[in-house]
Amino acid sequence: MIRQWQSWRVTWIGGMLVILILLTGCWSRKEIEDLGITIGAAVDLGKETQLEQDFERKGGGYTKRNALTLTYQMVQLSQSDGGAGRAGEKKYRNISVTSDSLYEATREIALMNDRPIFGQHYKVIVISDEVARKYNMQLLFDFFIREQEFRPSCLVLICKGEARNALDMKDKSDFPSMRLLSITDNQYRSSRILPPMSLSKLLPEINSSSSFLLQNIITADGEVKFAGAAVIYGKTGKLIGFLSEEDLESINWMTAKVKGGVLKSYDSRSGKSILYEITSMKSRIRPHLEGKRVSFDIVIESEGRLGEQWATGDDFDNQFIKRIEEETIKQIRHRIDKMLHRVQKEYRADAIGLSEYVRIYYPRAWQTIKKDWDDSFAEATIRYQVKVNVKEFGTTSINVHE
Amino acid sequence: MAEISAQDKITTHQAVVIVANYILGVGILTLPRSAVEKVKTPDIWLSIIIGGLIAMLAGLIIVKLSQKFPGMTFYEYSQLLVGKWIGCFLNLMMIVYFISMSSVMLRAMAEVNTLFLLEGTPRSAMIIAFMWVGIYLVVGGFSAITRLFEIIFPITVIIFVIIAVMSLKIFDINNLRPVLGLGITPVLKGVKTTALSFSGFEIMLLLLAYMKNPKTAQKAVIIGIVIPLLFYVTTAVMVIGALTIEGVISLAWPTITLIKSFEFPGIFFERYESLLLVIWMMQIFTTFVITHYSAAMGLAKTVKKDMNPFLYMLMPVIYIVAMLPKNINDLFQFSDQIGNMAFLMFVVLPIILLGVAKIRGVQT
Repeated sequence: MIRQWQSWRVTWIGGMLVILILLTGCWSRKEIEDLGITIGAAVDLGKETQLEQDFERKGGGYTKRNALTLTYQMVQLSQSDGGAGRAGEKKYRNISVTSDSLYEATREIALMNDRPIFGQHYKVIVISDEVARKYNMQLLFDFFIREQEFRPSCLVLICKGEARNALDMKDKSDFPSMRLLSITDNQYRSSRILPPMSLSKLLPEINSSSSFLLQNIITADGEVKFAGAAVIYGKTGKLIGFLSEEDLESINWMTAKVKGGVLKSYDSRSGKSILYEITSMKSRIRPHLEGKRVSFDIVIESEGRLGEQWATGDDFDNQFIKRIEEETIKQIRHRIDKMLHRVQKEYRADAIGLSEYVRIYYPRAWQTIKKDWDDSFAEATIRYQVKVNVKEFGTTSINVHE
Repeated sequence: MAEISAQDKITTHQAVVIVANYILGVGILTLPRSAVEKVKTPDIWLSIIIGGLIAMLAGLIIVKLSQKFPGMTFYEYSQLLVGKWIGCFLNLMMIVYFISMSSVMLRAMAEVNTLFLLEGTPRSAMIIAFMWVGIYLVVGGFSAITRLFEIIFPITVIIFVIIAVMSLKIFDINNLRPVLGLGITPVLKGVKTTALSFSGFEIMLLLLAYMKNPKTAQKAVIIGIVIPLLFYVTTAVMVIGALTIEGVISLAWPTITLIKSFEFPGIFFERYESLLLVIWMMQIFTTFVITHYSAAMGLAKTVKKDMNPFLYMLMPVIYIVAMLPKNINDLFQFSDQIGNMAFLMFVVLPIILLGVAKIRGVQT
């Protein structure tokens, strides 16, 4: 009896163990070493790389048109010590594939690399300006927005020239994609950076076919620079031109999307430069609608400090501070005028995003004017007022006695 | 039917938790989109509030009705109220509703998991595992279910609050403006959708019989609806504030996209959507078990037999129904239809039944 009970128990425990072994674990498990963790992508006009041409000569091709070249930046895991890799060792690897479908191109990488693309840690997508001029944003981003693996927090940038260059850098020990991401964090030091445009912010712009800006970058000799912005025209969804760094800065002033930055003006008496550092910027935008005509009243208010001056005035003298404020205002007005001329007359596209305010203040009328908003914007009267308040001048006012 | 034993009785506080847990389900992930589709202005949070108020009203009617039959569930008093055959038919409708609801929960769970978490796992594997865990709970009876719900509820609240605060990073109040820009009409268009997202209060038809103090049922149903109402409004405000109505309208699972739309560099781990998916999965689980249990209870009470065999018998049925929708659009449509059914059964029908009860002069 006891023996029987024991043998039954053995079977029972044995069965449990088998079940335990068979049932535990994750069905869709992927080892982290086997993932090609990808942190950046670049899209260029289709031009096959040397490698691809070689492959194709040896018979490795499939039905495609060479419309776009997609470059992925993959993290290279150092096999050896896990810590700091050898000096000069690249921490990343860029793979380019050419196709007319971005998805297919992505999967083509699985034929070339032991670690297929894993996109949950995407940081940036860089689009070449040529691609953006040729293709509608809606089509271009269909894959990136649809694919659930891509993070919607991924940053979108435009690169003048070859986009893949932006995913390369001289210092091989760091990740170029991370660098691009980190530069956008420098908004508190420069007002010439567009607030980050992620995939999830891009989607509503595309859906509502409104014009918008994308941060532009340029590359030279393995280095990058954030240089102005690209204007995407709402109706066509294509890139129509660029705004200079200063124009972008003026737009940021106008919409008060400034966290910091400096503004240089020239003293009209001495011709020397005066540097005003922005500590805060506010703007009030009020649209008006008379019939079909739109106009805006904008008040821009800024507080800041005197950062540097070559005009050798007396900082302790309020008259001088007043002069600095006036010069700064003059400079701001000058720059905004220039920017307005460019977006209203040259591009005829609402790159500033003023449509937002019309939508909020005139929701009913907006339903009808939103269709041709860019044209209404081009004809709109924009009145603005600038107020600058220099609060302080730092720790020291150098005062040379003669 | 035997009296419900004293230890199976639930307190008012527990009733609140059950109602709230049952209501919270797929809605958190899809409500912002389904509401924006109808409303088309950023005012969906108003629609949600109005929807919640309507749900409360319907909940109160249900409570009123159930209070007329102390100690009895709907399955028992339906036959007393409208006769054997119609009563049976109503019970059957309820059972069908609970089975469909249960199936939709399973399938939605499988769909979201396939997309965001377990890419290679067959849907059937997820669903079957889910069901077996569910059956383990429901054979424990009502008190076991209640206790689990009490554990799940605070976890849900804590994680939800964390996520809501984190998404403030990409929140822009301008996306929610203007309030009532196109008047109240669009808001009202969305009310049906939002009110249906509160379906779950109907559990009061059964729950009341289990309550220690059925007189507090009104309070329980109101608080039970207010909690999901807060969840829904917060979700809607956050999603619209971050993604704008133009963005939300084309997102299949807007709330998950919202969580994926921000990053906090410096914090060790990314992918906070897993947090959301965790609480959401728990909420799906609660809705699933309660509907499974209610359906089995319906069968058992209608044929006046023991409940356990029915719990097991329903498993394959629920599984098959869960596998019926061919694709994701089918699933969304299926759940819309269940919503319409819920409207008829738990808003229109209770009013009629309450009228019948008044005319027939059933004693309270």
